[in-house]
Amino acid sequence: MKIMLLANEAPDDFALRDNQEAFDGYMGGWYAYGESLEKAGVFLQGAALEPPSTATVVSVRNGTRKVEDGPFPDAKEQLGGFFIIDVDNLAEAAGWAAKCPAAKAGCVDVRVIPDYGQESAQ
Amino acid sequence: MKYVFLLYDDEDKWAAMPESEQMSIIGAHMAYSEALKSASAYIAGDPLDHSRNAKRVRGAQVQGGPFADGKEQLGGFYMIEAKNLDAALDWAARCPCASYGYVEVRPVWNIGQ
Repeated sequence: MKIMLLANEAPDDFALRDNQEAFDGYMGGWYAYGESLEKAGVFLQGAALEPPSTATVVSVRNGTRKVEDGPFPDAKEQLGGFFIIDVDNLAEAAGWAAKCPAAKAGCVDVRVIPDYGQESAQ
Repeated sequence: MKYVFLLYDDEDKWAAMPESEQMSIIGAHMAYSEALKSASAYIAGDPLDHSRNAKRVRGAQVQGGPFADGKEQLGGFYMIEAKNLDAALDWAARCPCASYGYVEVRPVWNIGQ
């Protein structure tokens, strides 16, 4: 089954991106995690996102476009990146989520990608 | 530049919708994907199942969904290529979800690859 792992990072984690001394350790954790997903043959796709301060929210009501500063929703932990993986079941996906660097100070959501016959991510 | 669209909508409303209405929204997303592909802007996209079938992992804790973050939940995503944020916002406004929910546009962090 296809799973989307959403890495919700704590504000302290985002701060590490701008901390020269801590940056290599921070990125090293993510690279190692990505490599372990690839090595296990479960990795399909992934992306890191610019911090939530760069987010813009777009909605259209009655034909009128509304553009607001994001993120949406305005929570303490925010999406820092995601992985799409192919695993046998939800328990295996939760196991991978627990190993994700964001699970330490933030949380990782494990979401099922339903098969509506759409093209796969890969 | 790459952008990720995070599609937020009321998933309970979606679940309660007649199938014909769901099919019409899925059709709108398929047409939208085709438009992105025709413009060579499409990179990826997937819908997400209801968050009641999700898990949230925090440290050693595993919590079952749904998560009480509000009425709107992440229902899917697109990843697109656009020349700048304005172009990405134009695509976001055309996304079917912009009309029934909210589309959060986030630049992909290009970590020197």
